[in-house]
Amino acid sequence: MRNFARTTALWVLVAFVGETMIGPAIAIYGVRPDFAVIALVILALSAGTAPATAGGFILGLVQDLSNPTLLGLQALSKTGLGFGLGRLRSRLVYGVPVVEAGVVFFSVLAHDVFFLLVQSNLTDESFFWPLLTQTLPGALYSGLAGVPLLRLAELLGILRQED
Amino acid sequence: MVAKPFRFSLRGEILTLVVCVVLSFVLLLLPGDSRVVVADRLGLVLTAPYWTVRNFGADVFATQKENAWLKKRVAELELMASSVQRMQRDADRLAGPAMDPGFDGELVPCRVVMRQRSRFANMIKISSLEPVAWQPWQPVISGSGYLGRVRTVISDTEAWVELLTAPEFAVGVEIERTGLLGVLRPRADRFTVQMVGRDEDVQVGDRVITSGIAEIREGVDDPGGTGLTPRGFPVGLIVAVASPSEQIFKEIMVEPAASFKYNETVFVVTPLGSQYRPAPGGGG
Repeated sequence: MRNFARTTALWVLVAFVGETMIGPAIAIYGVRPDFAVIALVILALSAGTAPATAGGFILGLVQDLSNPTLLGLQALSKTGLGFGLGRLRSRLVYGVPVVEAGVVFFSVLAHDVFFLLVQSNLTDESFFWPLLTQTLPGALYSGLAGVPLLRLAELLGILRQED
Repeated sequence: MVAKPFRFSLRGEILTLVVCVVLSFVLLLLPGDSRVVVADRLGLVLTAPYWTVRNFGADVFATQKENAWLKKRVAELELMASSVQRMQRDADRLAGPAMDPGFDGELVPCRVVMRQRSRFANMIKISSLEPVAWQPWQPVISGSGYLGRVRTVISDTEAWVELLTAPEFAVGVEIERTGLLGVLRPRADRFTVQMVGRDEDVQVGDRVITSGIAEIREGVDDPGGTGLTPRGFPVGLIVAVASPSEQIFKEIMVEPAASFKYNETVFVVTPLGSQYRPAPGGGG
């Protein structure tokens, strides 16, 4: 129960505070880490597939509320990402920063590619330009910013490999 | 004993995925207007509490910063105000009192450097920055009124001044409204005007000024009246008048205009006695 509380507190804190307060403060030329995806990685690696799927849905839904035109798209993207990360949990090597940075990087990339693909089909938005100017640098930045947060999660004892 | 973490089966995980995906599609396939309404309703539940708390915290932080700035500003303004007041007080002291028209005397500003209080003497020692040709009995005034007179000259920059509160002090005064003459003397902790007839017109609130009439001074040779206190220096206000039936003079109490408890700068009226040289051994 205590572990559940710590896990929930950390990923909610990373997602909400990171997205609304820290992200804008550390943005470089408009590029900032995707704290929502980092929070989802923490949740998936510490709690497993089902919580990560549900958590991804809720996280995406909250993000969708600020853009009702595509209500449900962020929820769908993060649901899939949560499920995928949860399934990946048992196949990862824990405690290696490069692995953690890589997981965050590819998670942001996969999430944004799916999101941009659907968005470009549903609206007039382009696919490649945001991919090059926002997604790739954002994924790199997220990979760098995600490592200390994952280390923190490990220090708190909530990040553990599946039995 | 540590409880084992709850684990979902693969079926449970897939069920969760299906439910979430279906919900996402339902939201994604909602008609345009309904999406906005649903987002609005969900926002009230999911994000409004967070934004309320966050905005409250931001407001508190901003208010604290603003308060700190305001406190700093208030402190600066208070310092500036006190500085201006101090400059104003200095300017007031150096300006000296307004003199009667036609009076061509000169006021020499002096600083009070010592105060002596005893049963028979009540004096202050004054010091001037520049040499002064001062003589005993020259009047000394403050910004608000008559204070006393030079008693002993120490050097051309220092002198002792006998205050109006000294036990044996007396000065000729005039009631400004009626021109009645009298003699002001200290009596215990108050000042009285003596030698005013019991039937004379004297009222509470009348202003008392120096009369310019020479007092008799023992041991001082003052042939030309050069040590005369000029007429018109404010001495005080009458605060009580009585006419006892057994006396031929009124009992008049005066509140002095000048303060004798605190003085920083006083003025000596020099020209009146500048040429005067006291007789050897005279003038205290």
